[in-house]
Amino acid sequence: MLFNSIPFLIFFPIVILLYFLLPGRLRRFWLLGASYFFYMSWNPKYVVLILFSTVATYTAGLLIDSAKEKRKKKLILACVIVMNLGLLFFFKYFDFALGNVNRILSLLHLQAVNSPFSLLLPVGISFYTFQSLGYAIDVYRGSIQPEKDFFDYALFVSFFPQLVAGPIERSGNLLKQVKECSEKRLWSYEGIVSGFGLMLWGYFMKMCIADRVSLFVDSVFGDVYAFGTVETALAAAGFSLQIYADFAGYSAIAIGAARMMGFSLMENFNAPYFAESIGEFWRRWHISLSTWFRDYVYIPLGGNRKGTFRRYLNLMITFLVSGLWHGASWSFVFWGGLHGFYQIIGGLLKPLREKALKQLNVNQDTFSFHLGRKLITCLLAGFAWIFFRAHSMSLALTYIRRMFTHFNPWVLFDGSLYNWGLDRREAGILVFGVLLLFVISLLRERKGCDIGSYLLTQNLWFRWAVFLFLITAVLVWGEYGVDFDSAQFIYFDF
Amino acid sequence: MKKALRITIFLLITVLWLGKVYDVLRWKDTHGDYLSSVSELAETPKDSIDVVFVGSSHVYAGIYPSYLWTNYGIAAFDLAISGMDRDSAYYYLKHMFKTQSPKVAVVDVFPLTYEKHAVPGNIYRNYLSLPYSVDTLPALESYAAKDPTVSENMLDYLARWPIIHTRYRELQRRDFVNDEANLYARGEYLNWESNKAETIDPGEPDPLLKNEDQEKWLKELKALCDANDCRLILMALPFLPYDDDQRYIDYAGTFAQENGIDFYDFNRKIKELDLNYESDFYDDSHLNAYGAKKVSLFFGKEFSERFGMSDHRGDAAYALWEQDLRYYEHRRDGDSLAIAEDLPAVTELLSRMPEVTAVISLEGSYENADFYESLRLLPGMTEEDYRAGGKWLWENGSLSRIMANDPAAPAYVKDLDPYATLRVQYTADFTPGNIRLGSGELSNKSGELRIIVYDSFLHNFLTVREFSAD
Repeated sequence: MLFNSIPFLIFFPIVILLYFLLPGRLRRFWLLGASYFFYMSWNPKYVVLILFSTVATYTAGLLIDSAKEKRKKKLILACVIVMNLGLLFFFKYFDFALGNVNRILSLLHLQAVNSPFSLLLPVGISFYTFQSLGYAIDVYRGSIQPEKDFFDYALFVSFFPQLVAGPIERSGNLLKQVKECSEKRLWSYEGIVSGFGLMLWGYFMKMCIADRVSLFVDSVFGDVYAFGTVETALAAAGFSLQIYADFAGYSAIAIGAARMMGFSLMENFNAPYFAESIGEFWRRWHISLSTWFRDYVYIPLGGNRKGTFRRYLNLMITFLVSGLWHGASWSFVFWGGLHGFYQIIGGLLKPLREKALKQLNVNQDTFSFHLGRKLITCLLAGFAWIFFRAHSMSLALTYIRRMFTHFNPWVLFDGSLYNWGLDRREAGILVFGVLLLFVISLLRERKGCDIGSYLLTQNLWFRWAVFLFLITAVLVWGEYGVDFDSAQFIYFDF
Repeated sequence: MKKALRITIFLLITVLWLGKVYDVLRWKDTHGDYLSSVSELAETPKDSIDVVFVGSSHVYAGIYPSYLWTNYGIAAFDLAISGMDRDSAYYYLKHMFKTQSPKVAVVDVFPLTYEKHAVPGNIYRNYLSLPYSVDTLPALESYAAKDPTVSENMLDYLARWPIIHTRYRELQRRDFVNDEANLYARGEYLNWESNKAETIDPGEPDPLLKNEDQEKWLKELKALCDANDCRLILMALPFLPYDDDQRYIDYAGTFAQENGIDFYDFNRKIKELDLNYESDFYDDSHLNAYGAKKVSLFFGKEFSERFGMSDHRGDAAYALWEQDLRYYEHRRDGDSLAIAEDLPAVTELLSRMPEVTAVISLEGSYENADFYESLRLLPGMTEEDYRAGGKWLWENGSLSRIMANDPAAPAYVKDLDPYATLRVQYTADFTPGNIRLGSGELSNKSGELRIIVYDSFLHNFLTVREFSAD
């Protein structure tokens, strides 16, 4: 049940209406039932996995709390981490690992091992295993008390707006609200209005921008030998836009849906392409995952407390793991490594860079300087996205080679660019959507709030006009329906 | 309370607004020309149709209710949609019976020759034109049983919006302003173009053995008509059969005979009706207006002689059929005007078309041509006027000069109807802009005699004709 599907458009109003109408003690059961129904709409069998992860981490939380010795606590935590990551490994990385083993075996002229399984990646597994692991680690660290009520905990793990692609919530935030929803009315008119606005904006980003630009991006990545510098560069930029509009759009819908019910989820994106360094980019991109890796991987490895070399090593390890989290392929690992590499190089060259800027008398407090930094960051992130999108190292390298060796500026003028999925009209709609995205991002940067909250501060007529525009734009310009082979939300695959 | 009211008002506005948007985007034609026999049926007064013809493009191309009306006063209607399949024929007939009680329903059995719609456009025309009712889901399920593209997208089909929303790419004036012909036309597709067709040879009757699905359809049609006290007639309009096509038609003949149903196979009546392969066909499987006349009059004779259908001409309750006839005449004359051989033929036609507006541009030197002899057929222009030239307007049955050949004269501007503004000017050197109709550039470019014709009844630019003075 994708957010941009008819079943969800039926499901969500029913869930939210009954949630408003039900007495407090029944609300959490209703949301829990709805969340499991939502999850099972993909594949009912995989409910076993989320139940397993829930029961395992719930029990671990209680056992860690009751254990007296540190060693025992550690052992329980290690067990639950192994169980959860084992589950993730089995479903997500088994084939990848086997492929690599077979590659080594073939180098040694030994017989390859056949895969005994044919596995489909259960939707959302990377997200809810991380969310529940975060909970177990928090209990181990003593930063939260273990949850005693199983149903509250189960709802925390499975809360449907953020179940399949985040934001990866922290128990300190969501679990507290889950408990409160039985005791008091969390929702408000303001929450409903601003959540609705945010959801609409999310739909616009996903259906009018991400799915539209994907038509061009897919054409180029799908037949890279037919294209030269201009198309490959544009498609790389297009994918940077696509993945942002897709995932930030999904996050906006998730956060907006939760907000309508009175739940406040953590923000996941903060205008990442306005970042002036790769480090800052990661503080703005997929914030819930970046902070998860920071808190549960980077800092436990030693963070930046053990000298420069260890800091860079920890950084690289964290980004390599983050790459692997995104997908079972070396190109994802390379993508993560590239981001780690950017930051290490950036850190190493910082004194040199600052010296050069001083000698060249560059005024760092100008618009042009900041613009330049933003553009460079975008270019670096955009270059790395090629590895992310290509799904294989060989395709990514071929793509980059063509981008730098087949210079064809004439396609900018002969109209042939319009043959690859986006004709003039569709390209026009895309440009309009991107301009709107830029304005909304700027608004967020300046006002520090999302569009839903911003609209709440505006006059009623303006708010309604924006809502009607977004509804109409999504319903008319959105890429969906019989003639459209709907691109699933990209992050559902992780 | 105030906040709940706000939400309610917003939802109400949203629903009304989306209703308007849907109206613009919705599927509007059944023939491929923005005319919808289903919309036309909706405009038809209750219980006014005498006979309904149901079927595919063969029907809307091959039966013109205007011929039945003008010759016999029979109120006929073509409930015909491109590629209409068996399920659609059944559900449309059922839909029609909700508001009409025709004495006779004539169903084309051509859908026996195919299982499902050949192209998605025909699914859209058939399904999306069917108004929402309790029959929507059964109709959809029957399509889905035969077509995986439907079964895989049931919810999209049911909601319709996921299909029609992409129409923003093709919106035209007629998506925003309903074509007036949809208020009165009777389902026919008017077409005077002739193309030589392949000779049809149905051979000796050789019916296929009984086929369960096809027999079920024919039985359901009969039961439906019986339940509505309507006589069912089966027919097959002329078409070029391939493979076993003719055998399916022959099977329908056998079924009709066994069940006491009249059956007309026009593939076997080509000679009887004197259908001419050179002039009466648009293509191998579709008649044109000339062929449609022969078939329609054949039915008119049958209905009036055998079934004693009464003549409604002159009855105000049947004003739509009169209006349809007027529509037919305008379209016919417009077509004739476009292909008329010479200036005398054009002016003779124009003289019989007082309801059209024409601009006649006389800006060149016509010493070598004698145009006046033809133009004098149109009242209002003397020979002296003709020598003086200028631009003339044919309107309400008379000519008047609207622009002298004078560079100082201001432009003449007139709204011909809400959709077309005429703007003429004398530019002396035939530069663009001397005649514009709406956004169309129709200027006299080289001093020829130029006639531009617009029909305010059809709201259509009809034709531009040029006659050289050399």
